[in-house]
Amino acid sequence: MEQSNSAVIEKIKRSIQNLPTLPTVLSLLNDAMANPMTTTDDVAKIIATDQASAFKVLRVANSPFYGFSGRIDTISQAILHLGFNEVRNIVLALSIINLFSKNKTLLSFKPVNFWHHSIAVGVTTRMIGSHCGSSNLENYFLSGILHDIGKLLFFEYADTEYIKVLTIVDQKGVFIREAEKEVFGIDHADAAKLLAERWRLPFSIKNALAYHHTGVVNTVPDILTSAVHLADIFARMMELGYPGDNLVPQPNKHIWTVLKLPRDFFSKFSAQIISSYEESVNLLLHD
Amino acid sequence: MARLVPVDQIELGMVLAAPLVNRYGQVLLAEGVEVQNKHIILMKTWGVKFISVASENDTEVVEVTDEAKKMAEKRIAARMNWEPQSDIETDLLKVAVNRFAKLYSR
Repeated sequence: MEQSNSAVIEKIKRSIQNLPTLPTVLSLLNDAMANPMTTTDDVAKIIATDQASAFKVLRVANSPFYGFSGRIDTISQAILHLGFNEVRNIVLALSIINLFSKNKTLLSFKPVNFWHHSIAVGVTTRMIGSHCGSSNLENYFLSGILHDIGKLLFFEYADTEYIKVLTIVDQKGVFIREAEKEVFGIDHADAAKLLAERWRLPFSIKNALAYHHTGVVNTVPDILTSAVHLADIFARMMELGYPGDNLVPQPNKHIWTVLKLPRDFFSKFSAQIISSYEESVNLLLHD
Repeated sequence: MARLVPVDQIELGMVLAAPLVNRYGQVLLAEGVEVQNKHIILMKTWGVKFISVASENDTEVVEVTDEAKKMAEKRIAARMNWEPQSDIETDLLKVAVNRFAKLYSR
């Protein structure tokens, strides 16, 4: 059993190495943004070279989610209003969603429902972040979108084993991460960590993906990780999308002191979260 | 609350929740216009992908029955093995119960 586990982990690691690197438009963007002399127009030009991204960025930028409904006509304006990082993260989210196939299905696991759940966690994480006074909100949406990306790695590159995982979930009624541990020896949070390293995602995002099940980073409190942890619970409880099992985990009690949310946070903001969710699903999943 | 509808899913009579503008900000159709077939043809010609329409459930008030609330509580309880430990957790659960109770009451 041990041996087959490590064989699978090797397979996943190799698959990660073989995964397409992120689209060139992103590496160009990253280079441009690392250069202090870069202007808004430079970045706008890079994005404009990829028409599909450019149109989607404008559509996302104009969605009520960002509160500038219907006023942003150019990429330069989008950068001006949303900031470099936000625009980069929109391009990143779109590219990652398009990197994986949407048509394959294993038992109850369908990528479309998976992305619904991820988008729900993305918008909820962002909403939580904005109420905790976090300064780098653009990472919140992206971390939420990517928090379960490890599941897609298993799904794409170890599908025979993943059918076993899904069968265990079905028969024993356990969390999908428990079934993954049983079959692979690692769970999707561990797999996401490997991928985050390969893609050189920011450290804070890597932690949020790797520790979203506990909400704390190696016992150290972290707002972003706590926000993803809570957003996952909210999306599961409200049944927004399907993450591979239908259970609702208990929130780690330590997140409440980190997040300092008002006690009526959910009754006040759930309607807004759900309408952003529906909006974002339309924008990110439909062509 | 407005929602975005892809052009191929527009139904006749939907009401625009915001002015439909092209990429230069020029207004193509005003807010409040009821979509007719000729508009859809024009939108396709202009390459419009989405329109923002007023959502019908803005004004819809759903009476939540006790029975629906019980069913909603059951549905959620079956999927969690913990009880709320604080005000905010109680609030979270209440919001979820309300969501499903409304669905059951329809």
